[in-house]
Amino acid sequence: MIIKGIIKTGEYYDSVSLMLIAKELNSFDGIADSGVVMGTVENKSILVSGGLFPQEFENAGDADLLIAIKAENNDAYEKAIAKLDDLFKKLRNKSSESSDFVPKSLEGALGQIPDANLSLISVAGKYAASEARKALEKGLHVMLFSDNVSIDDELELKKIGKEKKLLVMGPDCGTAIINGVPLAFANVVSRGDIGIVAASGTGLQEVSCIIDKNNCGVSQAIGTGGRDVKKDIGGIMFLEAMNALENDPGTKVIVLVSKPPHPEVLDKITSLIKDFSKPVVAILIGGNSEQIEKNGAIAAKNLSEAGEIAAALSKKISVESVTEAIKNKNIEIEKLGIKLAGNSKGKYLRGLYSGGTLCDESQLILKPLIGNTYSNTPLSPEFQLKDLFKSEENTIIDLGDDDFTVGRPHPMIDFSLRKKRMIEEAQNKEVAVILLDIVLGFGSNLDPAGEIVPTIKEVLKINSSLNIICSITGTKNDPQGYNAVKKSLSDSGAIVMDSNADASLLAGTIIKNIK
Amino acid sequence: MEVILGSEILEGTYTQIHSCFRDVINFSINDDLLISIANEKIGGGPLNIVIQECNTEEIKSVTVKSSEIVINNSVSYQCYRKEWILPKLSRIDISKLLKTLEPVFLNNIEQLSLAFLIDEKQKPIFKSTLERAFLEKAIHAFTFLGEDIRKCCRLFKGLGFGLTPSGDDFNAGVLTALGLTTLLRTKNEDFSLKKDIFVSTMGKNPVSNNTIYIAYKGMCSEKLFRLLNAVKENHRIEIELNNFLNIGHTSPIDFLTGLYAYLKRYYDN
Repeated sequence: MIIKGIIKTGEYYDSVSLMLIAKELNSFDGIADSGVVMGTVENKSILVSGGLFPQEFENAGDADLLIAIKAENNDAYEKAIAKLDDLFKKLRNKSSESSDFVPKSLEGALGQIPDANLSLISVAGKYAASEARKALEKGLHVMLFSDNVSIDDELELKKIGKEKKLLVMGPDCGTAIINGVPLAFANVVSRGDIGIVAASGTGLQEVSCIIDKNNCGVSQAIGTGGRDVKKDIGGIMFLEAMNALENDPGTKVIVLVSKPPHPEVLDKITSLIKDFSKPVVAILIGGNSEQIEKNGAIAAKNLSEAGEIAAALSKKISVESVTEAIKNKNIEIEKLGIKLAGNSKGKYLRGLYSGGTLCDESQLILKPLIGNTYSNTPLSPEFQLKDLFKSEENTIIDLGDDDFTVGRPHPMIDFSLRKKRMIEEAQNKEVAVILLDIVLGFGSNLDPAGEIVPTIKEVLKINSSLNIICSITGTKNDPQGYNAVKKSLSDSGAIVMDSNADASLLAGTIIKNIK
Repeated sequence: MEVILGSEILEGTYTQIHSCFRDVINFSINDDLLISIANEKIGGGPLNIVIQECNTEEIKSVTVKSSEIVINNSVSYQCYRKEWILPKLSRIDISKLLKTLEPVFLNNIEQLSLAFLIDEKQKPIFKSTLERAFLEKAIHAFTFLGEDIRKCCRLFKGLGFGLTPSGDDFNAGVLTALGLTTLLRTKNEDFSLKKDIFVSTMGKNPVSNNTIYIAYKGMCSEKLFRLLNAVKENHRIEIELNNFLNIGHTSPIDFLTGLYAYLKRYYDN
């Protein structure tokens, strides 16, 4: 082994770049270890402790960047240095590499793409409303990914949108598919004749993926933001979107996805449905489906069923045959659950979710099987977790909720909090089932299997009788590759189900039947 | 266009570029300190000039006048000065601040920061020989927090990864904690404590020095100012905390580790 280093004086790189350089160095062939630090006295001493201090570093100063390399031989070292030089060149030239104009305003962007007709806005909440207003004034539809927009602003924007016959999707709208183009967090779904209106991001994703799995496709998937169906906003965009799909020649079936709307909004929705010529499937997660059914729509019991029924309508297959098939499938899932319960120890379920709607759906499915579950977003307030970092009995957590995302990326992108929690739960012998959602698509973690499989294996090493149950929300054309992800998860020992509803049913059945 | 000038920036022309990044460009004042021209993402500070949508690559010099700055001897902006003085916290405010910051450390994972000093479960993140050596040094330095804070800060000086080593951010956090609790201390010794720490922790890295200098002077960045006021007023805490944590890599967490650890040790009843 040889230990050598280089000193960069007067060159400054931000901390993220330094971290990336360190990571890259360790991946080069023939490099056993490395260190990238500023040349302070303390850092030099940790290089000494780490066996990474070449003599040439003696006189380096605080403001010098030290790169220490432990290589198998000189050849490996020289190759690493050459690659490193390229890396530094790229970093130095990063901002001046491209001479393309990067617009810094809506006007600038429209100057580049004059016939753009949609603006996707993701800026800090306090600026988002004014940017959305500008976009609407210029005749653009708006997708507002931003949250922290006031209700008053949302109402004003949606009124403007309605008047100008423009969509205002959001605020806090994370998912849409318009004219076959996935926007923000969305999946690659086949084009077809099923239109979706959703006041729920992962709800839209789950339904659209189930539609794709059933060899059908989506014409348009319009997100409205979760607040749209509340009393203050009155369902403005939800209703506009419904009308748009009813009048869209490319849409033959309409699916509505939401948590229970305010009763006044529900009245408006059902009133519209009554006059629609196209079949409507509705899933109001946790809501009363009676009013929906009375007005001529089909009420689905869960997101997966909504997708399957919509697909049946699109293919002109009888809905009864589909619901019958679902019933039979559920019987098989229950049989599997009873069998797995026989080999299980422990008694509790821990659900660790990245999608809020999927978390809610799971709690609803589990309730008749195992009763109420503790959560940071519980169905009943008395089941609010006292300490979000400590599970109680049966617990299901929405890791995408604000409490967990302060200062860190969303759990659909960054799995680290979930992985940490999995290890903690596995160490508790009372835990029998860990339930997970894996959401694929644009915007989500690009290597979910690579990230979570090592943790699954570690968990099963800690407790081999644990049941790890996953659902995958995704399609075969998603960037992550649905089939590859499914195979990796299954090979690691997890049980992979086709939908969140199936996974929740299986998990609940196991817990219910453990003796 | 709104241009904000930090209170500590003296009038004059600055031409010696120290470093240039996407959101900020730094000019040397002398060997020890910098002034920074930054966009609104970075925000204001005593040594910052904030220009909305500034293109850092195009800036070669800046001339500061009383209510005007001139970029590259050609483009002039009207500006106004702003001060961000550390608010003085009561014991109740300190309790609220500690409660606000606690989950931040628990949520911080897979970053080579000092958060493990608050949440031990993060120690396994440090895997390589160098990372373990850093871990041990930091733990050793931290043991002196209670009995000899001067020694603790000396041992943290310049320790760790990143352009501003984690230990320097930690020390800036400690100095800030001392500034926040000015009204609560009674011993004369404490006034020399701040100066002693300042003198022993300033080094040859001007980027680190800036944060330490500002903390010593009883000032802070705009983002920290907003966070502290949010806690005092119980309003927009999460938003301001997110805004603070989103600048830089591990610097915010390392800074908050120093701040939290000091306040917890000396002011948490």
